Amino acid sequence: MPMGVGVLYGKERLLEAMPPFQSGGEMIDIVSSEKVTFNVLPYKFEAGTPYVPGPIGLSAAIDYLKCFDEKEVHAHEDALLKYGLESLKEIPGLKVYGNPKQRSSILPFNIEGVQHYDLGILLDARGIAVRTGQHCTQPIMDALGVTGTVRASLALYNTREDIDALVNGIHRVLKLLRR
Amino acid sequence: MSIKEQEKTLIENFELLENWEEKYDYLIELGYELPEMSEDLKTEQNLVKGCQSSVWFNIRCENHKVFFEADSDSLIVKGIVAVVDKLFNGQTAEDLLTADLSFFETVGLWRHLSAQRSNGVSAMLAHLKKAATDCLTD
Repeated sequence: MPMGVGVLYGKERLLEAMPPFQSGGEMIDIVSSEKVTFNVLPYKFEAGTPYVPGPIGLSAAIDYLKCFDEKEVHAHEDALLKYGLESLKEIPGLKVYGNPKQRSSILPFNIEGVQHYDLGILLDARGIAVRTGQHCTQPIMDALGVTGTVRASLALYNTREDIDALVNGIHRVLKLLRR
Repeated sequence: MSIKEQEKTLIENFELLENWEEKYDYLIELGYELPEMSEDLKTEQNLVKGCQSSVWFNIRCENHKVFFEADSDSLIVKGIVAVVDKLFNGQTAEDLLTADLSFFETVGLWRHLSAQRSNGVSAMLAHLKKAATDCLTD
């Protein structure tokens, strides 16, 4: 499975005006002792061996998403998030962070007296994947007054059974951590 | 007990446990048994920071032997700290520096150490080894 991939969208005249940020194969046109000219767009910005697996993976991911009706996917994800939010809130001492009008995909939380990393590692041992820590957002963690959070991410392939497994897993893990 | 003897006992104990839940349970238990670190020693200077958890570590050297107190905000990391305590606390700097760390791999704790920034464990070991180097020449 390829790693993540990003897409840069830019206005052509601005990209033309910009100098290359990196040098390497394919980005040059003519090189002599006196001067150098660069290749045309987009090659000017694509020095060296391109990252081939990423875009192939992205294309496969788009094909997969196109198999589904977009509205149905949103409805499924919204219902799942709502169920997840309600289920998590029933766990004593659990706090879900943020209360946006439109919540999307993620449920960040902490449980009173429990370190996020401990919870994450023990859920992982039970086959439940969550992310823990600062999530590359240290200023937000500071504003919340926490060292990190546990974060469950939901997508179209998740089910209500997954939420139930998460909640049961948390109850089980809490027995190990609180003694 | 020597590092090797401690290692043997710990490996035997870990091998008795059937699944990861039991292993973590044992690790947490070891953490609870770790001698308490004085709050005064939990200073910024003694803090080994990771993005998932923090470890406090106060090391001193006496007669070329390394002594330390340590603690963590994570119970699992504290368990690993307790293992490090059992293996290395009070050992000579020389024994500590030549110690084989494959023990952590044998009992499956290595993934906690290899994630370099995540929990400060590998930084803690580096910290300990550096102190041992200073202790050799002390």
